[in-house]
Amino acid sequence: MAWLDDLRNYKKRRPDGKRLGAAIRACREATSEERLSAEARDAILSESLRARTTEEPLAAVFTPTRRLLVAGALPIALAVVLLVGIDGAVQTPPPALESAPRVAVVKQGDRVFFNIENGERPHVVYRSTDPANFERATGVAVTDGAYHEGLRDQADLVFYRID
Amino acid sequence: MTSRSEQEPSDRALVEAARQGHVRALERLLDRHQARVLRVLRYLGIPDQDREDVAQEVFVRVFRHLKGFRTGQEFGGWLYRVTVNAAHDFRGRRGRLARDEAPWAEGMEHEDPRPGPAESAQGRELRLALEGALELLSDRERTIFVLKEIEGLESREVARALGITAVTVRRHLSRARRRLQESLGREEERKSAAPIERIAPDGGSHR
Repeated sequence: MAWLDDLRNYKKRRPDGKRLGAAIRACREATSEERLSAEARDAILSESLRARTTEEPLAAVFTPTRRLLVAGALPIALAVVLLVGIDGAVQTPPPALESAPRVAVVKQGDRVFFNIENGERPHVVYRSTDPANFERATGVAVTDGAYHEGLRDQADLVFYRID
Repeated sequence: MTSRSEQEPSDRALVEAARQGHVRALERLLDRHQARVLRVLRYLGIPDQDREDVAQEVFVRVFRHLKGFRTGQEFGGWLYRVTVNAAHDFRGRRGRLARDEAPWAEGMEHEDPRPGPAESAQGRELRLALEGALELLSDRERTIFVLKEIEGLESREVARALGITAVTVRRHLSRARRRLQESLGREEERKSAAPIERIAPDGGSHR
C-alpha cells in the first residue's frame, strides 16, 4: 500500500515546531548579554553630542568631568575661567534670567565646544594663555548659546573668559 | 524592598532628560538597549564585523533625532524601526558592493560568531541552523519573525514598529514559521542520514 508509505513518510517529514522553538530559545539566550565595545560606545556618545552641538546649538551639553579627563590624552590641559559679570554695556537681564549661567565644555578631537545656557543673553567668549589678560578685540560674540573652536596651538594651558 | 523597575527611570523619562541635554540619560538609554539592537542586527543578517558600525549608526540616528520623538510614542518601538531600517540600508549597500567586489566579500558573510561561555554545543548548533535558515526568508518575513519570535514583541507592537497591519504581521509570520520549520527539518534529516553514509562498508552511498 503505497499511500500508507506516503502517509508515514509525510508524517516523518512533517515540520516539527519543537526544533524551531528550541532554536529560538537558543538565539535569545546566546545573545541576551551582548555589549558594544567601549570604543563604539564612546564614538556613539561623542558623535551624538557633536551632531547636536553643531546642528542644534541651543541644546545644552552636560558632559561628565571624566570625559574631559579622558580627552586629556592630547598634551593640552584646558582650564576654563568663568568670569560672569554684568558688563556696563550689557543690559541687566530680567529677574527670571538672573540665575548663574550653566556652562558645559566638551573636547572632541582637536575641537572644543562650549554650551552656555543662560536664558537669552548674548555672551562674549575670550581666549588667552594669560588669565589676567584677555584682549577685548579677540572676543567672539555668542548669541545662540554655543561656541566652538579648533585648538589652534599647543599651549599647555588655555583660559577662557565668558562674559 | 524596592524593585529594580522602581529604581530605574523609564525610557520616557530618560528621553525627556536626554532632550534637555543630560548626557547621563543618553548613556543609560544606550546601556539599556544596546543588547537588543545588536541582537536584532545579528538575526537580520548583519555580519559580525559590521554589526558595531551599524549599531553605531542606529544610536546616533536615534540620539540626533530625540527632539522629533513624540511624547506618546514608545521608545523601544521607535528604536526597533530605526534598527530595521539601518539593517535594510546596510544590506542594500552590501548587496551593491557585493556585485562589484564579489571575490573579496566571499567567506565574510557567514563568519561564525564565537559561542558564549554559557552556550552549549547543541544550543550553538541550533542557533547557527536557524541563522542559516533565516537567509531563506524574504526581508519582510525575516524582520517580522525576528521581532515577534526572538524579541518577543506582540503582533501589534511589530505592526506599529514596521508601519504595517497586525494581519500582515500574522500572515508573514505564519509563512516564515512554516518555511523555517521545513528548513530545520531538512537540516535534521540530512544530519541523521550522514552517519549511515559514513559507515557504509563498500564505500557506496545508502540513499
